[in-house]
Amino acid sequence: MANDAKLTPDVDQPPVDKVRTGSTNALADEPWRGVWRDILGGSFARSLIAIVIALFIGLLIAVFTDPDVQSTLGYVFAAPQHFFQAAGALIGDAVQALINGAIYNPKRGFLPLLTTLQWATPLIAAGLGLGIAFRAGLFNIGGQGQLLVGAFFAAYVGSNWALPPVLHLVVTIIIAILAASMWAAIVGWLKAQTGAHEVILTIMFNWIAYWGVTYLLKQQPFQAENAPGYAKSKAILESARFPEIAGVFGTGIVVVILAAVAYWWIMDRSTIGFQIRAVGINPNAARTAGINVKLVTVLTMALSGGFIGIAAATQTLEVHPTGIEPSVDAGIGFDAITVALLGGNNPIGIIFAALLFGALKAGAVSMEVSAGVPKDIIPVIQGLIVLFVAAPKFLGFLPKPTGIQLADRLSARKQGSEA
Amino acid sequence: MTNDQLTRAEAAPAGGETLAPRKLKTPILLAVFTLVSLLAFVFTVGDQSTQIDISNRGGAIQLDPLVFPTMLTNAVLTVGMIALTVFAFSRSLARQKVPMWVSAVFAALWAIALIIWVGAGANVPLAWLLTGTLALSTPIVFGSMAGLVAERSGVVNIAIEGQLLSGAFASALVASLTSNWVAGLVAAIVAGVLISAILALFSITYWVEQVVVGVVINMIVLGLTDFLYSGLMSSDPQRYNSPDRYPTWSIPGLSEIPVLGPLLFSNTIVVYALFLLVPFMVFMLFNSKWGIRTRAVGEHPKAADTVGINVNATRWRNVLLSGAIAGFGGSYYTLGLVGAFGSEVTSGQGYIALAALIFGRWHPVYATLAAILFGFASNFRTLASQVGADLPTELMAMVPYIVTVFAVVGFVGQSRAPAASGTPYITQGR
Repeated sequence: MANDAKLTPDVDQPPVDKVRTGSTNALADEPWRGVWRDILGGSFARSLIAIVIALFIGLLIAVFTDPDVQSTLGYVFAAPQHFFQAAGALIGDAVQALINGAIYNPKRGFLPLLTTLQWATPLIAAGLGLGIAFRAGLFNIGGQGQLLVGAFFAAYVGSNWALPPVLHLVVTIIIAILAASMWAAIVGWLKAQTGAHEVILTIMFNWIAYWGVTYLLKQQPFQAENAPGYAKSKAILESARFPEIAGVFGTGIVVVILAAVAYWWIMDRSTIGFQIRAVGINPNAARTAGINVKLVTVLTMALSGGFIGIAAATQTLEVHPTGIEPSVDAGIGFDAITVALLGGNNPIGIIFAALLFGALKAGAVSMEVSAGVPKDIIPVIQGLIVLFVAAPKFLGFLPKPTGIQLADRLSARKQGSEA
Repeated sequence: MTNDQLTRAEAAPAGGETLAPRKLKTPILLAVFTLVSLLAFVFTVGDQSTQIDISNRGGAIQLDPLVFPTMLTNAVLTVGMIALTVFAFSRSLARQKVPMWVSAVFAALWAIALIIWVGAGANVPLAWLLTGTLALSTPIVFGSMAGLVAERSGVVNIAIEGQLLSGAFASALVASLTSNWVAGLVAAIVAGVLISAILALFSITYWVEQVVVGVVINMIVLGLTDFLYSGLMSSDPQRYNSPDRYPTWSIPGLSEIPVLGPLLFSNTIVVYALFLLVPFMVFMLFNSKWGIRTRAVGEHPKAADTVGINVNATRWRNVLLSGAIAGFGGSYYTLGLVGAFGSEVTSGQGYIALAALIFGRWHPVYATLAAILFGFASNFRTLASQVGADLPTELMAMVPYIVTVFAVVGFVGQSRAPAASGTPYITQGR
């Protein structure tokens, strides 16, 4: 798995089996040796365990603040079974509600999966944007501002221009991408020219975008009719909205999947992707090798903002077609940071991470309604997942992977049987 | 592209000796701001005057307000700015550094001109303006100091927002339950330390990317406080969210002095602590054993380790201390300003504190000045709407952030963080 922007530094550790046996020839004798270690200690199992632990801690917090459970705490030593009953019932209800809201519901079948998908759509796009910046060693906290600027332009073009149906949608998406991209590129340019810290710049640009968009949304020709003094854009014309299939399936996800493919192509196949990764690993070495680091910084931020612009487009043209408000970002800019981190900055990982967080968000609504657990616990669980995944040492009790690829094992076995 | 040329000029030795490039960013920026002052603050006003009210509200001593002719006063102030700009140019052209005080004095002159301009034909209550600025800057200064303590020892602290928020929440909850503000204060410090322990554990011990830990902690604290706020506090606000506020201690006599009295001698414990904290921090950081060790660990951990300083233990201590400072400052939101906890009561000011820290070059005094600038900017917005200035509040709200961008780009440029900031210290073979 290519993962250039590491969350934790590598400490040189030789593969376990090589140390034990002193040579790699042992692989030929026992090709499957230690494979259980790879399974249990591999990144998939680690992520899964991290998710389970984080969910458990989150629900435990919910348990201890629940009034029903608290009342049993008063006599927990006299009758501990009551406490465990109440706690167990609450956790069971919460988990059931999460699943009902995100995956499967007896009444609606697998329809909740579409809700999950809808939550995940902007997270994937914005996560890709954050991922590209991370790969270059840039920390783009400006997702909120970039999304706002993109959404603002999308709302303007989507509501004020008169274009034929499909063309209007395409043009609006492109404008959103360009707008968000330019907003991010300004930060990249300032950083490249002056060396100012991108974290500060992006934070400041978030606020500038927030107040600027709030102001503009109250002016003509941007403001919605019949909403004096209220920051809301006009409704998006039908021709610029994402078509819905059967009234439930939003098609924004299609654009986002295309974006993921584009991300893969840019990072793994194109020259600029190579340069981005080179700068991320070691900017000084990249400069020595003749890469224009300043230009790469600007381009990275522009690309990062461009992907976030896609999230802006789906938020505007699919989620808020009746008009956007300054809250259109809905925390996606920040959530995307955790999505990119959890997804290891690679497109498949980002899609799965976004689906997971999308599922949590979709489930949270039903959890709040039917189990009475406030949905604000979800960011806590989300944050814990990232922390646990990012800290391999935290799950230190898991076995260390052998560091031998499956392909090597198979070829070793083949050679062994030939010999 | 000019930078490329500069680097090339730098590389080519001129007449046998290499000359450093002239850094003209600061003087150019000053010139731009001087021009703004000249065009906007001087030439747009007619025959108006600005009235500055220097009496304390409801105070025993009532003084006549000072009346300044708007255009003349601003013209004089602008002449001062021109002088500073010329001085900055002369320094830069001679390849000398522009001293920090030039920027600071310039900023002060510019701010005064701005107030005079906005208050043209109206009354500016000076005591209110300054005390409000102090109140709004207080938690930001605490946040900056918290960031400073951690970052000087080599741990990037993006979690200031979370530390402040945890202090605000814990102090409100505990002060409500115990009906005692002292308990609230202690709870705020404990909460800040606990949150910092997460930062320390994951960034120092588990070597996770520090910026990531900070962002995640902010997310967790925001979620947790929102969760407890909507689930617990809102169910019975009378019991859980009506804390005893910090009492205001007025020093008899001194607090009657016009303007300075309410500003300096009639405050809550947090503000008095702030007055002590900043000089104390300067002294400790640059003169004490703790300060030297902190800076050594933050600049060159390997060297510090070689002379027997326990790098990671020093960092742990500093990060916990950082949480205590920020937690204490965070209690000011609930027990000092608002009197109750609300969802996201810190409203992103932890990030502003971080900006002030970087803006202030990781120095306690300059970071404090930067924090006060932010406090002034948000208070100025209120002033502008009070005196009926014809400016949209949204655009006024943008000003501090735009100024920061200019400042970060121009005044600070390549502001240098403590060298080892952001990298975990890993000894081989452990």
